[in-house]
Amino acid sequence: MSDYLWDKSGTPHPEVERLERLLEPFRYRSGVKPIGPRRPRASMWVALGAAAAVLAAVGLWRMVRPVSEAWSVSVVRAEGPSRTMSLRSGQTLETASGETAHMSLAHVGNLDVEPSTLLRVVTSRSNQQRFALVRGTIHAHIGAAPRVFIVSTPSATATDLGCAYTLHVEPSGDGILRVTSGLIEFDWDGRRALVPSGALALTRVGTGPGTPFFGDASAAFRDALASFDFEPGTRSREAALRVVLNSARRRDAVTLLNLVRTVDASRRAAVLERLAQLSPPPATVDMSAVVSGRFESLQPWWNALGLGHHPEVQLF
Amino acid sequence: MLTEELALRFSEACRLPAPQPKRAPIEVDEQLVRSASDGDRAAFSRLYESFAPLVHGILLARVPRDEVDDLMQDVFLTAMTRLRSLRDPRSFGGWIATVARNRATDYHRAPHGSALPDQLPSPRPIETEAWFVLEAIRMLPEAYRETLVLRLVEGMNGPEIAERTGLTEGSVRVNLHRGMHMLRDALSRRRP
Repeated sequence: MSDYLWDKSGTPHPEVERLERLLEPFRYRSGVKPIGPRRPRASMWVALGAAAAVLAAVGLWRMVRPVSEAWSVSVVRAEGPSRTMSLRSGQTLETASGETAHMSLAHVGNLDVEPSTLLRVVTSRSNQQRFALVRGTIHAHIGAAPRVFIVSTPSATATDLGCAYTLHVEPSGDGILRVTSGLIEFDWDGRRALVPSGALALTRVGTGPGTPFFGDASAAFRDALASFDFEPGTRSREAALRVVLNSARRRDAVTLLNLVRTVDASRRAAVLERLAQLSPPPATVDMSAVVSGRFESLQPWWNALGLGHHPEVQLF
Repeated sequence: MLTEELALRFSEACRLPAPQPKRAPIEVDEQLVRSASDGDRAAFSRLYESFAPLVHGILLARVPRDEVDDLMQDVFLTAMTRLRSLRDPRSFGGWIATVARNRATDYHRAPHGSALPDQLPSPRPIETEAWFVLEAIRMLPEAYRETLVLRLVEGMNGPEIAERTGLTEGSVRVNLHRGMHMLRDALSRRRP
């Protein structure tokens, strides 16, 4: 590796070579564009016919295509005037330590961006808004249809199901989500959390989102939940789960409802039992199906807890 | 070390570019520097093309990417007006590297002196993972981050970096290896 890293001699080291390829888009490029060769001319009639066909196709496509959209951005500085700009797919907003920004897009919603935040618009189209929050904090107030507004972070992806929330990402990539209205789906590599209004969820690089909880839960409950979610070791996780179950209040049923899907199958019945003590299940919940890993019937239980969701969204 | 798993996580726009051909070393032509110093715009243009990657890399290691192009113009404008003060044309690389570092320092000293354009240039999408890696590099100590950006982003090799910046080859080699070690640690902390 030393030769390749130093002078690019010898066999390319896979790790270095991969970083080179990954970072190459940041490389300096001269602004001069080469002029391409001319295409040979087609006959006039062939060209006219082709043009008509293309125009018809373009017209049809324009009627149905998802339209690229720009976010209006106002960058506010602690000193000096604010500036306005627009952000489209592939563009980035980086606020300095004394800057905040307000972003808006009419049919989607608003974003307030805190200082020292790096936010990239991955895709901004009428049918999909995807962002990458590399670091920093955003406050999102979204009115778009569910699953249109999505924010990826280094450790979890937040999918809007109709809501307002704050998402913070540490430079390490760890983060925290706080939902203030509606519901967020927070997921990573098959690990999924449903975070309702008033709840929080931590997320850790390499692990993904933890189990949602309410901020007014007891310290013992929160600490044990963090241990269960992020600390390795079966025995410590078992002990932590016991504390979570024993110290849960009725209001913490949302945590247990999420836990039902994430605990080992052998512990599922215990979580369901405690959940039922805190909030008896509606008659439509098929407990034996849930124990066996079929979670569809958790939906009425979620509804009974008053956690709310968009009627068109299947949560379980 | 990065994994394919991490790459796939952010792979919606995953279009890894083909590796660039190795850049041929460009020796600093003393006469070129002298001609540019005497007001020869063509000579200065050639210096610009030769040293733009160096200046770009130094700035990219220090300031937001969207500011880099504007600050590059500042650096070369400063260089053009002050080139006569350069006594030894052979030290042009180290000299303009210092101008670039100073401009980056001024940028951070100024009260929010950034100038965000109405439309940020984006010649092509850059995948999210690349941003995470660049951020990880930018959090390393200054000497390491600059050397790593010149090597991994701008595509220079170690001897070129030494030649352009005026650093000794030994220093560049140490910065590369220590920087790579620290980068590997930083990235591995993001993995299970």
